[in-house]
Amino acid sequence: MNQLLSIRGLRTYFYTESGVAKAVDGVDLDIAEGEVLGLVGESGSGKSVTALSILRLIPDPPGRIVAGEVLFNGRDLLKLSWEDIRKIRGNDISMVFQEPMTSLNPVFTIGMQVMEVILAHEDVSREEAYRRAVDILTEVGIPDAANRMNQYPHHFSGGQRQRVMIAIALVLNPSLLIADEPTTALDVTIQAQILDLMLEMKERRKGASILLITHNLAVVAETCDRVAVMYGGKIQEIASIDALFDTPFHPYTHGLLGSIPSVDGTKARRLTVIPGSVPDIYRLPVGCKFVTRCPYAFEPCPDIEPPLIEDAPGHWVRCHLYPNGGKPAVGREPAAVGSHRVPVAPSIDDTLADQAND
Amino acid sequence: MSPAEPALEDPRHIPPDLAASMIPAATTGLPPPESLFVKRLRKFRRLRRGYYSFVVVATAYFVSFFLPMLANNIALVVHYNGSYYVPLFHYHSAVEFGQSAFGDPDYRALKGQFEQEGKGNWVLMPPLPYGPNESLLDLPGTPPNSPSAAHPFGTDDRGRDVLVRLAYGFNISLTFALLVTIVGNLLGISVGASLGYFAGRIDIFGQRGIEIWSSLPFLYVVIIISSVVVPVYLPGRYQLMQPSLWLLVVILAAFDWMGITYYIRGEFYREKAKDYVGAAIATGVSESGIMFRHILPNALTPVVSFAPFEIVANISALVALDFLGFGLPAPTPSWGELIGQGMENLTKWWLVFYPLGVLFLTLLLVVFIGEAVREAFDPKEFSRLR
Repeated sequence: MNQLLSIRGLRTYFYTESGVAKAVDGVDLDIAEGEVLGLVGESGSGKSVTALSILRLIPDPPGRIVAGEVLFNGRDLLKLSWEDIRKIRGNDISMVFQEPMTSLNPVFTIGMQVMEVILAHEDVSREEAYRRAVDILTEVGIPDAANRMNQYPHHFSGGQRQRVMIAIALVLNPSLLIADEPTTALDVTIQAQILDLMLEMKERRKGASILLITHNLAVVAETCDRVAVMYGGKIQEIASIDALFDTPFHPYTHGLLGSIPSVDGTKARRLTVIPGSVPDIYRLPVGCKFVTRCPYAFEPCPDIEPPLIEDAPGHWVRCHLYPNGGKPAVGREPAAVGSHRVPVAPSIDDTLADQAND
Repeated sequence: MSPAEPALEDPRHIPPDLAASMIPAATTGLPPPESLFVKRLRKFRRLRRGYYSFVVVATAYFVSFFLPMLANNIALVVHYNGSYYVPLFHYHSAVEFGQSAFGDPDYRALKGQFEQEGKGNWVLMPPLPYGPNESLLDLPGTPPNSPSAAHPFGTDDRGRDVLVRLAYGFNISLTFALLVTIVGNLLGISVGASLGYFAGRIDIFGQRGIEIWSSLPFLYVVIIISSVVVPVYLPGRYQLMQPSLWLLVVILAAFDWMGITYYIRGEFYREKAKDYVGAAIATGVSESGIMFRHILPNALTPVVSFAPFEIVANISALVALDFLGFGLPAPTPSWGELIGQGMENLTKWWLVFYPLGVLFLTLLLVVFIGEAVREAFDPKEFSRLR
């Protein structure tokens, strides 16, 4: 399959008074045509910054994309002029944001906001733009779209606003839709509808891809073809959806999967948690970013950053335990207690602390 | 299975009789589309005092543009020897109407003369047949003349009708204040928007520049400018087209724009961080589109709610400058100049009372408007002021 978007060595830093925050620190990612790629990670892992960097939406100052390239149809988006990147935004690559309640301008009608993106990119008459806006609103499931064109965002519910956002994002048939936690702010019942809508809209547009950013593994399992796991500004593991859920490689992915409650298990089990919390963004570990919380950390981990290697076909992982089948390399002993695949039993205090954090 | 049954099994199927009784979607409980602006306008109209003040001031201002037809010593229409003349729009000399004088005809005398002759000639004068710059030296006594039936507000120290001059002064004062407010706001909004939107170095240096500029002593600058560029009055030209008026507008606006800049800058800082701006950028809206189409309408609240009070301040500023003699050149009808005359002739009460009264009333009405506008823009339904 053809690669639609290739991110290579992307580094986005934020220069603040507290120091340099390396929010994205060397991300490599490919999105193929027609694929739904999930990008998961905790808050602060750099997944949103990665998405914003693709369209160069990083607020500067304090943020800056310091290195890397983002190849889209062979063009490096990071080297385009502002006018050229403006033409890409909304036309070839569009975004849906987390907060539907505030992502629409309160002083304009819904119709005007849908029409604006058409008129910003295409030389069409207002009547033509109006007709297409009504069509796309109907397509995303806004009933009575022609009348609702004249209404203001405050007349719309959260789910409907997210539908409008999707309509705005898709009205020009972009080849890539970046959805940055599109369902986080919505009710659970609406979440499924919005995800279904996105997939349905994608199906109607052959070859369109979706980059879905989320911290919700259930959403990933339901919608994505492949998943990339981010931690500490780096991709830690990339795998197809089945491989990731069946045979996760990275200890962090183990932790993530262990902390999801399951309803189909025969035996009740205590949820495992990842001990500790995300390291300070200003003082990330020199070596593996996960070393401070990893139960399998051994001698090279704190000092040497492991490379991202392909340990199984299409299954990439960034961990010193690989390519050695998940065991420490010969001659090196695990620094931490416990052996592989037997996670350290969390103390009850950790569990409570984690719940309190949620 | 009959052909009708599968349709009934479809949960989306609506039986025809039920469908007929259903209200079309277009009329079901949808609120009428109403923008925030329309809402505020409605609220403004509910605030009686401010709304009626607005109606009064707006009507008076509109009417004041027709003052040359309402209060003037030039006739509207002259019928002389079978021909019609419209002296208001086309100049005619006194000789053309058989008067033995040079220059302007005396239309009031002409009217009396035609009436005495009874030859079918007539003159239609405006309701108040006195010009704003016309010295009425044929009145009994010496000017300033006290109020009389023909001149209810009396005349000033050059024998000019005070009522007519106040009326013309209203038009000039309000036009001047509006112009200064508009020019000043345009400047202030542009600068404030740039500072807030581009931020960083532009913001820091821009703000320091504004601070330096705002520490210039306004009055001395005006005195210096008016002594270098001597304001002249071009006779025969309409008052609002006098270059000195525009010069004063520019000078005042140049010192008036800083206040709103800080508000707009703050609004832009706040609004540009909001999600809808990010969403608009992500859909490829241009930079100017973001600034002026998306952020500006959301940042205009301080501009609109300050505008009436700026108008009050600018009317007062013009009055003060005219009072000091640095404003519009003589003989422009001006309130400040009349108030100055009142101070020099304190015993002539009509020169003190009427100009100050008119000024007070105008400012009061505009303040009422401003109060209502502020209230209409207040997101709190129940203000503690009510």
